[in-house]
Amino acid sequence: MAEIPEELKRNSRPKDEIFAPDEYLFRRVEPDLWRESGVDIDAVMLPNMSVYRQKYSLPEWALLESDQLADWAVVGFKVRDLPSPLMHLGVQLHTFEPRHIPLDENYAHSEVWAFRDGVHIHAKRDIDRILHARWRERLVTQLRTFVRPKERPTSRS
Amino acid sequence: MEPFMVSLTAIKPQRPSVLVGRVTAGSESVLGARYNTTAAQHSGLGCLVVVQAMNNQANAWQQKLEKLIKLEQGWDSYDADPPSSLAVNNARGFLSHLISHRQEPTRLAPSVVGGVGITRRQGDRKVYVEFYNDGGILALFSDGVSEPDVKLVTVGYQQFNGLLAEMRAYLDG
Repeated sequence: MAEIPEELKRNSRPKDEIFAPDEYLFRRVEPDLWRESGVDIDAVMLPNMSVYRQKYSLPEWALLESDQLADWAVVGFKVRDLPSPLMHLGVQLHTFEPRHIPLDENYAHSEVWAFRDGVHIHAKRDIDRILHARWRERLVTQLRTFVRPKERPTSRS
Repeated sequence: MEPFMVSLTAIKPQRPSVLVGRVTAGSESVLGARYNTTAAQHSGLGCLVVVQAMNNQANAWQQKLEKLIKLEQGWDSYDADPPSSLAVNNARGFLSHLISHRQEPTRLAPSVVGGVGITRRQGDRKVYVEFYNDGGILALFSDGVSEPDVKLVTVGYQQFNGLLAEMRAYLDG
């Protein structure tokens, strides 16, 4: 495994639930799921989609978990670009928000959570597929590529 | 007239997806590419040339699909399920439909939600068809700007034909 930068380690730091609207959330993408024009909806999902938050991470740090990730891509989107809220079937209000879920070796780790009428949805089967697809499509139109496949920067700071 | 297979593996056509045509003996032009055929190959009759290059394209998509079965849990480095046999079977059926109607996919990939995704793009428009591990199928029509149209699809020859017609109408529209 690649060396984890000290800045990425948790080191007893507390959760930070304040996400600025302009903060980017990064997600690594398998090379086959990436295209020069972006990625398709098969690269993003709900619920609890893992991401790295920009406030505590560089985009390329999303590739440090394993040597096998060296050739992968990293894409990102701003917190304010999360498609939220979405109304489904005219009655169900769905909202989507980031949550800081720090790990010992990855303080930047966060997740995008889905809520139906304010209740956190934990399981994929509990999200309507049509709503899920709408959300994913709207999100991928906002994605920006930070690292192309096989282009991981060498800089660690 | 019986289809007649002609091996053109030594040729690198510029437009393999449209290289279908009728030829007679001799040096023939098929949509701009020239192929040398022999009288023995078609017995002096016109024949339908199923260009080997086109078959190779179809085979390449099929092979890509079959490889997805070998993916393991967490193939996306998070916790994605690998595509199930059911998802791959359904995708295989639809892929055959696309290819036989010369509507080749733009891409084919595993989906992080568990399944297989097939996309066909034309200009700014795309249709993304997702084959879920439990056998469900969903089609998403999007131009990247307006609200996407999403519908559930059932498995079946007629259903796939209907979806293909909708795809053509949307992408050509």
